[in-house]
Amino acid sequence: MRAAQLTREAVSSGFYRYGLFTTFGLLVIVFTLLNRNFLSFPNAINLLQQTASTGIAAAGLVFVLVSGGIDISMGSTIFLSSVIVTTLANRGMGLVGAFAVALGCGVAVGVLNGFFVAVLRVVPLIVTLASLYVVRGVALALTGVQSLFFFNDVGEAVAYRRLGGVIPVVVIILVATLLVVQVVLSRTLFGRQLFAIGNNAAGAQVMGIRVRRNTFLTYVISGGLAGLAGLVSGAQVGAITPTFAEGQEFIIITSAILGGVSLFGGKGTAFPGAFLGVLIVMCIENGLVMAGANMYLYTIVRGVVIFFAVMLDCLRNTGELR
Amino acid sequence: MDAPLLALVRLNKSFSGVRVLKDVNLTVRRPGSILGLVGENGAGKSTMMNILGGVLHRDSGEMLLEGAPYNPRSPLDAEKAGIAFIHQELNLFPNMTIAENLFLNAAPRSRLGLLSYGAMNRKAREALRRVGIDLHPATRVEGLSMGLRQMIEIAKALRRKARLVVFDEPTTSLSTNEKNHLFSIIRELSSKGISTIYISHTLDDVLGLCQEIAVIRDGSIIGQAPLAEMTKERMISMMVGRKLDQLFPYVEKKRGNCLLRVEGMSRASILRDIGFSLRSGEIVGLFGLMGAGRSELARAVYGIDPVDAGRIYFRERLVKRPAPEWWIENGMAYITENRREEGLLMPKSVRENLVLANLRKMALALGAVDTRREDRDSDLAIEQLRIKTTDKARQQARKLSGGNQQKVVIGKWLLTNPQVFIVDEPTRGVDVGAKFEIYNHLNALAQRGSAILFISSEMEELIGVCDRILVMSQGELTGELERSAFSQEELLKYALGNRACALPS
Amino acid sequence: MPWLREFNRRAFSSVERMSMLFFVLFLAYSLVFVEKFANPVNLGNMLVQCVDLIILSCGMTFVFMNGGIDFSVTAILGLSSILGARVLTLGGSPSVLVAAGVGLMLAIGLGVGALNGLIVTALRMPSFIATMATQLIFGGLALWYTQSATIGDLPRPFVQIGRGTLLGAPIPILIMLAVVAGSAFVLHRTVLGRYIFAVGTNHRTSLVSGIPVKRTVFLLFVISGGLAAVSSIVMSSRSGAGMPALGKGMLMDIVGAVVIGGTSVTGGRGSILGTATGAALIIVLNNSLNLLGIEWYVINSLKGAMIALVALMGVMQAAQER
Repeated sequence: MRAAQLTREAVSSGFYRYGLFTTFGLLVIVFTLLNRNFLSFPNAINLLQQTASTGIAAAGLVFVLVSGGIDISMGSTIFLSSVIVTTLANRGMGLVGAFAVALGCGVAVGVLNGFFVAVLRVVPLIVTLASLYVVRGVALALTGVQSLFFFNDVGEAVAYRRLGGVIPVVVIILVATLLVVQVVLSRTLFGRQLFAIGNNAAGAQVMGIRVRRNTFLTYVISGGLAGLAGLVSGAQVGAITPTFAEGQEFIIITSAILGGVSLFGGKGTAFPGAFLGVLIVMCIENGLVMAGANMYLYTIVRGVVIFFAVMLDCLRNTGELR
Repeated sequence: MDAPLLALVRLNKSFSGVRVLKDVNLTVRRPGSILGLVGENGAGKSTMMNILGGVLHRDSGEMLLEGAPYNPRSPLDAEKAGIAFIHQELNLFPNMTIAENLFLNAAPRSRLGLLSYGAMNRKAREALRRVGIDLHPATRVEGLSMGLRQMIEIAKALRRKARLVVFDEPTTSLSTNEKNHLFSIIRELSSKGISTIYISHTLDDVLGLCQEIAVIRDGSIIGQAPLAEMTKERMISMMVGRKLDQLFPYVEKKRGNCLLRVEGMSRASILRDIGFSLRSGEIVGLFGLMGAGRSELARAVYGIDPVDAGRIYFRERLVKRPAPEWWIENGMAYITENRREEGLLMPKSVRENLVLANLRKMALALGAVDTRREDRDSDLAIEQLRIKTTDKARQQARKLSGGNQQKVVIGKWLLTNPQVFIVDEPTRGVDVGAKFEIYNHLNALAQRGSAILFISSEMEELIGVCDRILVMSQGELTGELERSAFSQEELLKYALGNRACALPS
Repeated sequence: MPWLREFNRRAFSSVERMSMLFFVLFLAYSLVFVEKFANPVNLGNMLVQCVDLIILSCGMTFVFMNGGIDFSVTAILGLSSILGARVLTLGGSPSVLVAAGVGLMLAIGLGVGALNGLIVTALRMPSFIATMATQLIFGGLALWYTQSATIGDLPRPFVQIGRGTLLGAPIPILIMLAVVAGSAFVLHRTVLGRYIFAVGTNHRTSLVSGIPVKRTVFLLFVISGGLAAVSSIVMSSRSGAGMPALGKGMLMDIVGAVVIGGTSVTGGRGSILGTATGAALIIVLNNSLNLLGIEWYVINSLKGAMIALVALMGVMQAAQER
């Protein structure tokens, strides 16, 4: 039994130290072989553009995961904020104002989640599961279950504009968000305390760390960044259907876990971790597109990817039997 | 004369009517003193330290720091007052680096207000150097040995400008080198005016390190004297010098066949080649101080924890894979030390708890539970053990008194009709009346032919009730005494690690 | 009547009592004040929906007893429905086909359940993500198999299960009653049930007391999967077609039924009767609010909020008892 355990540990720690980069590298190589255009600049930029909203939301999720929680309501929050931005922009509110309100809505969702989890102490899975439905319901009520179209020219420009004609604004927002999140995680006391809380919440409390306040804030940040993600994807998509972003939380969670953020808390980075995770997931999806895969294969592949991502996490870190 | 650095004056504390600290007086005379504190398990050391550390509140008495009243309301107050604790369970986060662990509550920042890793690492390096460690501060705590982690804790304490550091059993997981290093650090601290309270069972260490030694027994400080006036024998006699005037129920029993035999049980650094046997009709005590490995031995035999080596024979037949299910099926029960977390289902009813280990035998057709038997059996247990419960079907286990809770655990196991009983601290947290009832039950069981391994830290009850007593110290079996040779000093000597006599074969 | 008092006291904790009360009140209100509610056709529809929801939520209750969740039940519904339909339409002797079809459907449910159980117990993966992965994989498989198409024209003996009567009562009702009775029996009256309560309360105590913890947790998922398959049989036979997307959107109602019925989301406490009450309440709510003109997404939001609030009540109740 010991031999099995030792190999297990060796495999999992080896993978995590070098696995992320090598996996990503391998994927790039494979796809470039399949399609020479893969590594071309336009394609790469295109990929990044597509990953923008998932990446931004994943950055927010990293806070929650590192401190030992979970948030599965992000898809609904993204939907809500894109709906709000579109509605307000179409009604003539200035773009800045619309963005601000939409972001505020994301934060509001985060506050609600955080309140229930940190103050009222309800299990995060159930709280965010409930939010998943409630928030989407609220957003649908606002749209009257219609698809929304983004008519604002300025908005389109923002969505598609490229800095210097080369790099899309959304990609800049993505990278900036990931970097800022990583800085907060690694270079603020708040960020470091989250790692302590995720590892041993009781021990952190004893040391005087304000566990409840910090946990509350992680959900607020997660909600806020999901709101930002909604802005970005809403502006890009142009038409927001009633099922927009449904199930996106799975992809976000997968990205984070693939990026080395542990489901059990106390470990992980936004950059390069979650960023690479998002890229890997997008590569896989892109690969499926290029292979002309049947559309139903996507869900299956996503399930398999989540499974393997979490399995590696479980081999390395153990949790309770639930 | 200046006021002493720390003075505990007539400290009293009771839990549920039981006096745990009785007019405790303790003094740390001047900055830089190294005070040793020795006493058996349950003597009151932890309670005293918890009060000092702001975790518990005293019932009466005073605490003075340099003459000024000291009333901590939380561990943070203690920290601010300059008192640091190095507990056995270190409060380090293994998923972070040394530097990060040192700077979790406040940290050096750069101009942008962000943490400056350069400054953090530099200061961490300094702090580590003060405790003589030359590790890179960016090393993760995960892979570090206990000795190194302890040093990091000390470094943490020093960073918080501690003027008094309390060590609680610091050397249990240390190598000799690490221990010597610890001592040199403590002496260095002393020369710099930082005082130490050193709690330990290893009397040799205490004699080698401390300038003054205090002995605590049954909640009172028996004496505090300078090193010159203390010897090992004196300490031992102070630790055990109680009058054994309590009558414990002892009965003569007929010893029969060997029911359980353990050979060569070993587990990394926790158990070392342990072997013993239990015969039908005997109550065998297992004494030792905290960390001796007694519970670990029981758990290893019972199959809850893994082992590296060892053979177990039940009724002279080798047990290939010990597991709780197997033992219950074949007639051995294990009453764990920790009833709240491993012995009881706290939110469940008394009845549910009583039948828990015997459910397998209560199946009728289709797996249905024989509810009448559940009732009958639980009534039987309640009656036999005189468990005081208002409603066995509805009263939750957590609402019972400690004694009654323990009786429920015992009752649960009695219902499985075991031949061998391992009981681990069965009378801890139990009132006197219930204690005696438990002794009587154990006696009755032994008289009927059961073999009992009675693990306890309370010498008197072992001396009172057992036929023979095994003693463990630091993972080894260091001694065995027959009833005719029972003596407090001998037991303590073995428990402290002296192989005064050769082991009986 | 002592047995009635016993029944009242034993069967209901305070959360369950409140749900039952609310159910009775709301049902009464709807019968009287909501137009078309008391219409026999409507009542018949509700009964049908109750059957489906109750069977599914009985299964989910078991998984909740250990503080887990099973997201894959909707996938099991779809996969067993479509694969069963394929077998049922192979051509040949109807009785053989029906036996094979039903057998296969049950096997799928038990098999996926066993897989879930294995992942949770052997890999120690948290159930929410393990079942999230299996849901994506097997749900995707179901859709991929027929590219979303349904398979109709199921043999008559099979369809009779869903539409026929036995001894005067519709067969689905009988199945539902059997499931409820069987589940209640297993959970509250068998040794396994006692194991489940113990394991859900405290793993360590259970282990020391000789209870097979891993095997018990494993069985919870098998039961959940098996009952999902039973529900699939009922639903597919009633509609006369195999549908790969069967059960889409039912998850919220299932979780709602279990939580509102008083089962604790952290495990160790629950009752089948409570779940059945919760399911009935959900169906009445769905129906009545719909007739009152409230949009489906608003109803979803309300249900989501109810789930969170009831979970909160559970937390408060637990805190009070301490």
